Amino acid sequence: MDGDLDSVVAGLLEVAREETPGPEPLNGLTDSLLAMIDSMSESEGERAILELIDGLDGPHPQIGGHLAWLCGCIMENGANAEHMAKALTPRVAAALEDAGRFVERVEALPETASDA
Amino acid sequence: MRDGRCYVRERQVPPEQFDSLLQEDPRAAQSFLALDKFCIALISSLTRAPSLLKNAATSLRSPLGGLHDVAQYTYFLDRLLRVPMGERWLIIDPIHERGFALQVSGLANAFQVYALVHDALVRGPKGCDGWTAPVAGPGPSTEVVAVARGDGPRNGRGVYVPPFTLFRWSAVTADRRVPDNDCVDHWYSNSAVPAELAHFEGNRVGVIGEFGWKMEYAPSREFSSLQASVEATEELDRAEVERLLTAFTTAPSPGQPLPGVGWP
Repeated sequence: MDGDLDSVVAGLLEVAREETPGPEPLNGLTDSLLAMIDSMSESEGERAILELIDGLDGPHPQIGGHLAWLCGCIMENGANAEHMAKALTPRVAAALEDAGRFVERVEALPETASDA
Repeated sequence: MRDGRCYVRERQVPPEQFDSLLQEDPRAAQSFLALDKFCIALISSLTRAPSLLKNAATSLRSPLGGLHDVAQYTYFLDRLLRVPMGERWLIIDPIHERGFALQVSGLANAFQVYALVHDALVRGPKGCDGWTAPVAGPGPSTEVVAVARGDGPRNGRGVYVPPFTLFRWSAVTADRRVPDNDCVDHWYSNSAVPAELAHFEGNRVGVIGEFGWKMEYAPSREFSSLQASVEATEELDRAEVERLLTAFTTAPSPGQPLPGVGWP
């Protein structure tokens, strides 16, 4: 990985681990990473994915989902899909279980006039 | 989220209620909002690593459960996890009392089922001399097969019209025929997923029959990176075909599949 890619990935992981991340650094780093994808080698892409996957378990599932999506964008360029599928499957299972609680809570709420 | 508002199925969650649920269980609310991105990434990786599909389906079947319709990509993930991998299918032709075993992987929609079953029936089992195809005419075009298998573009030009219609085994009547025309209860329709072919004795079974309508497909794959294959592995003995045809008429009906879901 070249220095720029290293620092962008490190920046994304830092945002993912913050307790109260702001949207601006995430948006800027995302744009930087997306701009690098076309010139990334397969091995650089794989390493970036493996590092970003570490950030999926952070305190903010929405940022975890965003990093997963970024990994998918990198993988479309040719990185090893098996590593990513193996790492993502349990994370997606956990996200589904968590999301299921939200759906249950919403469906247990009394209906309002706007639902009709 | 649509227009900045959270929806669960068609129910809008008012912003104040969403904020309250977010406070109460932030992980649950955020995970709900992140579902599409997580699912897109997993679909991208699993379609490129299909050997992991079966294990992923085992891990995700329970948590995905009733959530297939809460986000756009939970729907597609659910469909992907129902894709047959390394399954043995039987195609039975009751009129000519012939039957064929197929090895099936990677099919996600009815176009792929018809085009690749058609192609496999025309080609016959590998190394089988003097093969007589059970369907009339040439096989599907090279372009149609390439789209269906994942060797070509995701969408092809023109239309593909299969020269036969598939039904579930429950369509076979006591006189060993598939009722023609309008037998929609057992029809393997042009919107069905592969899992809407019911099992019989552990194999999915398709029965060749006639239908009043010709189906037309715009050649298209649902998952661009997922490779599909259907190979005829053997022609069944006539006695086995006769046994199956008799057994179909006396076995309890599998009932109707849930559209888009079928039987696991």
